[in-house]
Amino acid sequence: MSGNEVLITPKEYRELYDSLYIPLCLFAHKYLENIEDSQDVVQDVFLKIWQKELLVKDKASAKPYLYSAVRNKCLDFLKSSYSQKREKHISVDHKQLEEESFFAREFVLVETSEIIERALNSLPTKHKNVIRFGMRGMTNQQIADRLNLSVNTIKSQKKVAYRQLRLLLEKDLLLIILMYLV
Amino acid sequence: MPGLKKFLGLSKRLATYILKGEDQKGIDLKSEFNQEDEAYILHNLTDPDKIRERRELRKVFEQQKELRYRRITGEKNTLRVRLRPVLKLAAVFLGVIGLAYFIYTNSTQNNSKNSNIEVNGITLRLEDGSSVNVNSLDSMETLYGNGEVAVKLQNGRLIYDDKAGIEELIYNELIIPKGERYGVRLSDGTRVTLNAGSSLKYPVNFIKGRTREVYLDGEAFFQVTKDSIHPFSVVSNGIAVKVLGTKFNFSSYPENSEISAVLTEGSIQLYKVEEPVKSSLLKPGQMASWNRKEENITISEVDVSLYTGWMDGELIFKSTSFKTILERLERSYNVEIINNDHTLNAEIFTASFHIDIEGVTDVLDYLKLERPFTYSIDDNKIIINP
Repeated sequence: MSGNEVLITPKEYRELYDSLYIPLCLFAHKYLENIEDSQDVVQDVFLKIWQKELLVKDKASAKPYLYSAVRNKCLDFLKSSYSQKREKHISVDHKQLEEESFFAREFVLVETSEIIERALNSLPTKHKNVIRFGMRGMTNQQIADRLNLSVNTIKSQKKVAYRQLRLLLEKDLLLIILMYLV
Repeated sequence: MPGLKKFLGLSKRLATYILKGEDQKGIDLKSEFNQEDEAYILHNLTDPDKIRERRELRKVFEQQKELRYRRITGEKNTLRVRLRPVLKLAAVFLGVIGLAYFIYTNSTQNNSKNSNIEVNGITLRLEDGSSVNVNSLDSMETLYGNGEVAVKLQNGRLIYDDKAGIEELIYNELIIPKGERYGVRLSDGTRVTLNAGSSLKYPVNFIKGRTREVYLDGEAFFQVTKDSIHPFSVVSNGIAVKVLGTKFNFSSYPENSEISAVLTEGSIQLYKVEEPVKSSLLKPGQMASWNRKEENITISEVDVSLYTGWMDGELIFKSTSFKTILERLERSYNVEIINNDHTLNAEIFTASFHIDIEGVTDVLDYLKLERPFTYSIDDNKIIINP
């Protein structure tokens, strides 16, 4: 353990759990391809923090640290004798799973989809609609037809939605600043 | 690990590109990933099937989140999660159903035909008439008498494996209540996504040399595995759709005046079960509608996404009457809506929502901006007044 540790409060723990439980499960699922096992691994990592066997300083620094902890636990699990017996159920090659590039790829995938999900959930209805249709590659004209609105309305709605997105993502970036190693 | 900071920034930029519907080729993934990984990431973020899969997984995890939190914080001294086989097996094992139970005559099959019975949660009705509540389980398996797995629950969907040895048609029925959607993979690999308030009856295992036939009430999207020797048919209220290998949506809610099939890929034939000779052939992008009253089929060109968006939780109304909108809302949100403003029924609306993002009141609030009305909520009932 390095530095002068300040343990997180129960409230911070709750926030940490709320923001990372699902993405970490999705991440673990890429390694284990099993819903129950993935949740067990994530639960175990969070349990260690709760019991202060693993120390995290704050939410921002915890994120990369938790992803690594989950990955390590997944790899350990795959090597366990229990998992070996079920080997036939797991289709991905273990060698590939151990590589850093796999970690990076799945990390970017889960994080990006998380950001998209959060962004969509925080926009008001009409702005969400233009964003959602735009994501599917629909043109402004097609969106206008679908919603029975003029192309100009769609354009201005998009403008407002983009501004909201930018604010949202900037706020998000503030949480990303720190890196912290145990 | 310090490199993760770089990847967080990258994720943010990538998310922005995708949210804005811009070409992701402009993003600098190449500096960090090889071509294969780059393609993998982009495909997983934009492919509708992948997005849907992730949403389903997310839902499963969401359901367990609180429970797991309590396990960690409430019982920290007694409950230490152990990834040991004993615990696992106990959790997974549900029950063994002998093959003998499956061999039934027609009379028992008729018993399980009535799908209008009120059900709680997504229900799988087995050949012997017994029911399993699928949402209450983390995982399950039912087995044939010889110990082979007949169906398993995996990643939030039911999966039937192909068992060449089975020569008997054994039926299961999957019943989806209002407010839910659910997926199943049949033994031939065909994937079916069922919409709210629907049921599908199908053989546990399709049999070699016989057509693949399933029975639908309500609405479902089919992705049929190609097999030219064994045509696939969906039968519903006297209307059948016959396919070889294709993707299409089939809607046949009893309260709707029309039964319709919309084709996204391949080709299908729609016909009255009694008159298979008089069939209509559909091309991708077309919809065939059977009018129950007039007993005729019309074919029209449609925007396919209007009819398949429900799989992603979308509620799309395109020049839709208020009456129809209320029916869809009742099914999608599992609420009862009573409309006392009768002139409203014929009003036409065009709007689009997402059931995971907007609640039923958000939808009504939006609609009443266009044509004012008031509503009140009483328990699970919504009452609309002029």
